Amino acid sequence: MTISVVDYVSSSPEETRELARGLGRRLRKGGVIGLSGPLGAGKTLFVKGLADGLGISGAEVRSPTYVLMMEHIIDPVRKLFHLDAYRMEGDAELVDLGIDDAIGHDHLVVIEWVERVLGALPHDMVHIAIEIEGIESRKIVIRDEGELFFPTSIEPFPPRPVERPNDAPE
Amino acid sequence: MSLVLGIETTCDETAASVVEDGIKVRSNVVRSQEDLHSPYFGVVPEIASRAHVELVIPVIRKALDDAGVSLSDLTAVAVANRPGLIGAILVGVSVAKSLAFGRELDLIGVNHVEAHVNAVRMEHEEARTGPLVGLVASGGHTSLYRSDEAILFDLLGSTVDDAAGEAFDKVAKILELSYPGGPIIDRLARDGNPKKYDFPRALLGRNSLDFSFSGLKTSVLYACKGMNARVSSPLLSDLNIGDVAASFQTAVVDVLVEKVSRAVAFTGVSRACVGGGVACNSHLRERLQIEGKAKGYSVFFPSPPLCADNAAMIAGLGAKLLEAGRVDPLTLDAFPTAR
Repeated sequence: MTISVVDYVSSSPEETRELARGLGRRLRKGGVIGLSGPLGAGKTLFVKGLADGLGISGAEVRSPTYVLMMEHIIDPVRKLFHLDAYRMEGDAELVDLGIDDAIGHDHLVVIEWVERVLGALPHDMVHIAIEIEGIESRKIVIRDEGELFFPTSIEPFPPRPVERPNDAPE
Repeated sequence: MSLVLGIETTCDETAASVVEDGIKVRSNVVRSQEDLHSPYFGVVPEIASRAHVELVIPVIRKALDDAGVSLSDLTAVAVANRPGLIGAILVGVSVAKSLAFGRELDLIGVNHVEAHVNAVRMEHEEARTGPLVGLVASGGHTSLYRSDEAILFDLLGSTVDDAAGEAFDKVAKILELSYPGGPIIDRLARDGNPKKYDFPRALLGRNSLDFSFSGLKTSVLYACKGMNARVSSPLLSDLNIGDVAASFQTAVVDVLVEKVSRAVAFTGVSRACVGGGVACNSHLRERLQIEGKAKGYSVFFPSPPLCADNAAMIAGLGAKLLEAGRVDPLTLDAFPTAR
């Protein structure tokens, strides 16, 4: 299987949310999406965009750092589970939350700070890494190992090469 | 006379309390799990779930002992069944159901966030009946309510991203301080210059009663670690931490005060209250009292034991729901979100 890796550079929070919205709209099936990136990178914002694209109000998506897991109903058979591993110390805690019940159905499971709990997750998932480039700009690398967004036969969306904005700091 | 046992396990605290007639706190036991968590810097959920299971029975027993009552004296058992972490809530709900079934007690599910508003009604006679604007600000919640009577709540607004208390904790993390961040930042801010940094106040438009603290957190990050946050803390050692703490805290308080004043103006309700852990913040208390005086509304705060997560507020609101006949069946469920 060919793995799709797509890079974007977003120049603003609005653009990041719009990119995520586009991805949410083209989601092909349920599965797991992991988000990584430092404090303030825009992980929760990205999930808001995904929710917008799935037809859920993005305003309903809030940081799950304290409550650890939030559920949103996409349609009668599918839910968006929004998790945050910021306060977790390892894989067992994700299992404790009942993650296995959500994975494997048509549900979408999105996990912030995913690097802390990778051992509890399937291999065929999507990794989205957000790096802070400048005050507003972010580099977003999407590695779709589960073909949730990008079936290998179809061109990535939007087909855009990585561009470095001129104002990006060294 | 009603004697209600309250149980609270929605997040980090295992708590139980006995409240008489919805007002008089006969006992209020909170087994704070902070000592278990602080070595890990933050709350560790696995430990939290396990601790709830281990602690809930001893905590209930102590609450009964402190109140000088036994299970057979109780009228009802009230439990916080929403919102929060589902696995943690289920511990409290399961115990409450068992007690209700075994002792034939009335069972009442309570909304944890609404109970924070009721904590003010319990303690302040002037706020006991009639309309209130209630701000609840804690680590997991930031919501604004209009509460016309003890058991009536209309949600006016809430955070669209991070909770206010979460912002305090994450800024404490950026400043390499310990957990929980609220009291430490409150203390450090006393010696800092609140005008040193002009951090953003997200008001989300002139008519919004919602909150957003995510951008503020990011601004503090840039101020502390430079615009390129990939480089780890090159500037932190040169910073006056007190100035950052004071500037950040003032930005949060400015927003909270403005939203409460707006809610008062929009609803025409002349009394406001604040609940939740952030209600312990000294700067917020001072500023709201001043603002209330200037704009003609009175402000009420719970005492510190009823600010932070506790079960007395659960028992108190439970008693009010019981008075109104709002009793739940033994099929009572736990919900991660408020509904």
